[in-house]
Amino acid sequence: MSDLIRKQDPANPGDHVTPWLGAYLDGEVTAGMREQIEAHLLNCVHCQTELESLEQLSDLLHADPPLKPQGSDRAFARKIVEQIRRPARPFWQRFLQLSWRMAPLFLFVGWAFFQAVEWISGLVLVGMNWVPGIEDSWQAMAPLPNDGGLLFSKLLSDLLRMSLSSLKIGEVAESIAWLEPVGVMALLNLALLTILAVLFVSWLASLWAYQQAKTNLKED
Amino acid sequence: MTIPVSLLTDQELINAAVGGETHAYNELVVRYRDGVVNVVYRMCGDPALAEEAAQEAFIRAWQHLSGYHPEHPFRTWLYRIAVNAALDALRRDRRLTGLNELDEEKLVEDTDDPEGSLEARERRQRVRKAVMTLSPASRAVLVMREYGGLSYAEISTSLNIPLGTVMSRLNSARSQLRQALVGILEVI
Repeated sequence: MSDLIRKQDPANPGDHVTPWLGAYLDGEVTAGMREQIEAHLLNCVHCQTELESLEQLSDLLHADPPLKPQGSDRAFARKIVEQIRRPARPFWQRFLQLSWRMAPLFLFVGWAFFQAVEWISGLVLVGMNWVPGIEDSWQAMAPLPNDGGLLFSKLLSDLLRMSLSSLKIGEVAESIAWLEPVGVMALLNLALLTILAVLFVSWLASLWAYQQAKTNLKED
Repeated sequence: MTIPVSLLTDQELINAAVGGETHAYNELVVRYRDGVVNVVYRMCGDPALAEEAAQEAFIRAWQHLSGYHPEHPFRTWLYRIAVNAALDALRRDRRLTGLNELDEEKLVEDTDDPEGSLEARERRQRVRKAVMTLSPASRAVLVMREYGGLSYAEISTSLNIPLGTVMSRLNSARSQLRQALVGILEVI
C-alpha cells in the first residue's frame, strides 16, 4: 500500500497522512505503515480531526440497520430454484423478440440496399455507354439518354406503363408519360421513404404501448 | 448415508450445483441471501427493487456458476453479480417510470425501525440518500467495504480493478459523503 501514492511520505513529519487514513481505519495498511501513521497522528491535529471524521462517518453508515428480507430464506431459495428449473423460451420466441428489436436496423438496411442498387445500376449503365457497339443495340430499343440514371428511370417507367396497360388501366398508364424520365425514380423513392416512415412510426408506437403495459403491470 | 447439505462446505455445494443439483444451490442461496440482499439494497436504495435484484443475482449466478474460480471466496464473485443486478434493476426502474432523479418517496421508506426517534430516522434517510448520490463505481466499492465486509483485495478481485483504484474510490466516496452529511457529522 505504501507504493500506491508517492506524492507524500508518512515518514516525513511535514506531510499529512490523510490519503491513508481510510485504509488505516479499515485495517488495510502494513505494520510499518501503521506505525508511521500512528507516530504522525500523535503530533498532527489536522490528521487527528480527519480520522475522527472518518470514524463518525463509518458509525453513521453502520447505524442504518440491514434490510430484513421478507419471507423465510427457504421460501426465497425455493422461488429461485423454481425459476432455474423453468424451461427456457423456445428459440423461435427469442428470435421473434430479437427481430422486433432490430426492426429499425432492418428498415435502414432495406433503404440503403435500394439506394445502392439505384446508384450501382446507374453507374453500370453509364459505363455501358462507353462499350463499343452497345449504343447501336440500345438505340434500336429506345432513344438513349447519356445519363445512366435517366436511362434507368426510362426503363422503369416503360416497365410500369406496360404493367398498368396489362392490368387494363390504360388511362393511368398513359398519364405516366408526364412523369418521365426523372419523375418515376423520384416517385419510387418517395413511395419507399413513405413506407419506411410508416413502418418506423408503427414500431415506435408498439414500443411505447409495450412500455406502458409494463409500467401498468408494475404499478399493479 | 447422505450428508445433509447444510453440513457441506461452499465449494462442495458449488461443485454439486455445477453438476445440476438444484438442492445444493438451494442451500447456497439460503446461506448468502442476507448478504446479497443487503448489498443490492445499499446499491439501489429501494427494498422492493432489492428483492427483485437479489432474485436476479442468484439466477445469474446459477447460469454462470461454471465460471466461478475457487481460488477466491465465493461471496466476492457473488457480490459482483449482485452489484451488476442492482444497477440493472435501477436502470430498468428509472427507464420505466421516467425517473431521472432519485425517487425520494422510496428512499424515505424506513422499514426497519418504524418506532425509532424521528431524528434518528431522518439521519438514516439522509445517509441513504447521500449514498445514492455517489457514482455507481464509487458506491459499489463503498457498499462492498462498509456493508459487505469485503477486504480491499477482495473488492479488487470482485470488481476486477487495481488495489489503488479501490483505495482512491473509497477515499473519494467518503469525502463526498462527508460533504453531503455536513449537518450530521460533528467533525468534517
